[in-house]
Amino acid sequence: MRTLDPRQIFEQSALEVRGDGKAGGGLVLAFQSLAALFSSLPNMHVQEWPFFSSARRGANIRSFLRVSAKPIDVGCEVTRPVISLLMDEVTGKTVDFAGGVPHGGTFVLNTRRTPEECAKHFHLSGRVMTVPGDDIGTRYLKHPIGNVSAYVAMTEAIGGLEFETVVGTFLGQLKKRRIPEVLLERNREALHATKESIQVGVFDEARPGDHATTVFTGYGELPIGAQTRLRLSQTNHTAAFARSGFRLLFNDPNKSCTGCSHCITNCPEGIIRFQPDEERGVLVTGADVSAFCKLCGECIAVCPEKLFTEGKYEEVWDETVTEARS
Amino acid sequence: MSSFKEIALKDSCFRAGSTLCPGCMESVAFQNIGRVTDNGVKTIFTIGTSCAEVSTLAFPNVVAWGRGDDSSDDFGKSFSILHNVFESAPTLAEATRDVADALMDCGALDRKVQIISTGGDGGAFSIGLRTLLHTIHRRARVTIVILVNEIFANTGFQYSPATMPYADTSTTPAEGAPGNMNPPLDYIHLAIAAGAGMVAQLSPAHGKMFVKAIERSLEVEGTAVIFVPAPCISGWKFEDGQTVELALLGARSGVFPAFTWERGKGGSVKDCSIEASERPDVVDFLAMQRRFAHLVQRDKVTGEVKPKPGREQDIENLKGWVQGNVERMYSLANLK
Ligand SMILES: Cc1ncc(C[n+]2csc(CCOP(=O)(O)OP(=O)(O)O)c2C)c(N)n1
Ligand code: SF4
Ligand SMILES: [Mg+2]
Repeated sequence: MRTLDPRQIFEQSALEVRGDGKAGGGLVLAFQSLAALFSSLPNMHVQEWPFFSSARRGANIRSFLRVSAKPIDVGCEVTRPVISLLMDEVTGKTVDFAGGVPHGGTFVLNTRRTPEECAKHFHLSGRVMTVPGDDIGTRYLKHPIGNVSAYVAMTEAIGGLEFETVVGTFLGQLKKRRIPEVLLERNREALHATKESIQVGVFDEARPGDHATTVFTGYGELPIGAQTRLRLSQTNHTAAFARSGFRLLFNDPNKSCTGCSHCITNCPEGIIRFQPDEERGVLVTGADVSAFCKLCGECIAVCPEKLFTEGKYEEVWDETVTEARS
Repeated sequence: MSSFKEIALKDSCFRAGSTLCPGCMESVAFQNIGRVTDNGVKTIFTIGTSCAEVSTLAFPNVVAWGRGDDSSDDFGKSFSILHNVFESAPTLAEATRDVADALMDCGALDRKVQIISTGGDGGAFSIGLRTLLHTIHRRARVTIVILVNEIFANTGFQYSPATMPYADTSTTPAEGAPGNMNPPLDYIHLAIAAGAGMVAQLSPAHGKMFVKAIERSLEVEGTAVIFVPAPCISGWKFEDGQTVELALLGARSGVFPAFTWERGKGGSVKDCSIEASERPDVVDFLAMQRRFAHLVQRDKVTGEVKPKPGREQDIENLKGWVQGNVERMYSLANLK
């Protein structure tokens, strides 16, 4: 399969890039650094902006970037990116990060999985690059934050950039954000460590109709009050706000819940499950984890019996689910 | 009055799926207010612009309010929300009370309603101080809940008149400067002086006291004002799972002591001694938040919190402010 060369594209017209991730996951910094990197090159035109609502940490956000050797005369959001980044696997469950990417485009994913697995799961046709950014973040920055690696992978996807400039630009952006010197050093190490961890492959897994750009044609005929009904929070599964890779666990085999109710009254989401109990008043039986738990950890902190814990959680990629979606 | 556990079992009208930050205290406050108001009386909320409104109500975000899945025929379970801006929340509540009273008087409404206004500290103390004081002064029979996270959180963590000394905010940066140098507004005293029937400073971390205060606020004569210290995970910059701990530590160390007061009866400071030696050290409160990272540091080996070199005097000043704050609360408790 013929893959599209990003460098050729920005010589002639605008290279369009898009990223999907979670608020607080560093997507904005990665894109701002890419923009700064290209702005530092002679005769480059750059356009970059993040797109988010007032939804907070953990909510899906997008970033856009246009780079061109010629003046850029559009300002709308990018719908057909040649390079598309998925910063967080969980975001990929609710957003089609590959939407509108042409055949032969580049897909960059921050994941532990291989390019092949990703191509099969998301039905990708083009160049697939993966980087285990969260692991690199955990190792060097003591935090599963993948933006350092995602940024490096994006620069590799574009190609032809001086690595020292790549590193220097990112650190420059951190300095602007008043990041202390020790952390800058660790970021430098993480940037250097990323290069060897990038995996690349070319695949042709997209089926006809996959990732077609959808055009919003309106809601159609709506009953009175429908506007509100369309966006009731019960359909907003904020469990996706939780840190990826972890989940809340509840374990009380000996019924040691004292019924103190602290988890119930301190849960910001009000999702603790309980039943009335003669002896204790209340018996807690768990929480609605899969739909709404943002994993804030308050129940873990307040339970005197330590019945709540946080556990590692790896999303199983069930291919039948993707089939059904597409 | 219901017991704490009875309240815990109630059906809150604030539900999951809001877009507030994970662990936001504003969310916890709404959950509990939602439970307390499941008391068989229709509630009318007027909610001023703040994180708690924008992330639970404002377009294009979701609506995180509702009780049950069907539209309720049960008047006592039902509630309404009047959407408005910062400074209007208290006055709109007051107007709603007037209309409800007029409807009751002419027999058009045969059951009572309870009215709760909510908003943030920026909305209440900067943008809307005038209307807040006005409503209190008019003795409107409403409850005003103010979520005090000491910043304008929704717009990016700018200083508010409730910001504590030395805090790093986006408009009082701790870069080449010590952070916020403006002593906070004495809002509790202001509310009392303006004529409030009841004033409290409590967060849901003080579970029983908090729900009791909300319950009581719905009954008292005149305006009840409840200030809810609300640790803000994104603005105060602390680790996950520390919201409740910080709310307790902040109260116990004297930054925002738990306080309840009623006109004619006086009040009390709870869970916070007037003697500094009997309170948790405020530096432990500071060390948990990156908005004070310029002041203190924690020794990695011993875990001990120390002032950063050159910041000793700042810490002393801050401790002095805290002591003054606690003493002031004790003296306010003596007012009748
Ligand atoms: C009339 C008007 N002015 C300004 C704004 C912008 N704005 C929205 S929320 C907010 C901050 C409110 O701060 P606070 O009341 O403390 O609530 P918090 O977000 O901290 O909960 C501001 C300034 C607005 N929405 N409308
Ligand atoms: S920014 Fe602060 S107040 Fe706003 S939702 Fe987040 S934690 Fe709550
Ligand atoms: Mg505020």
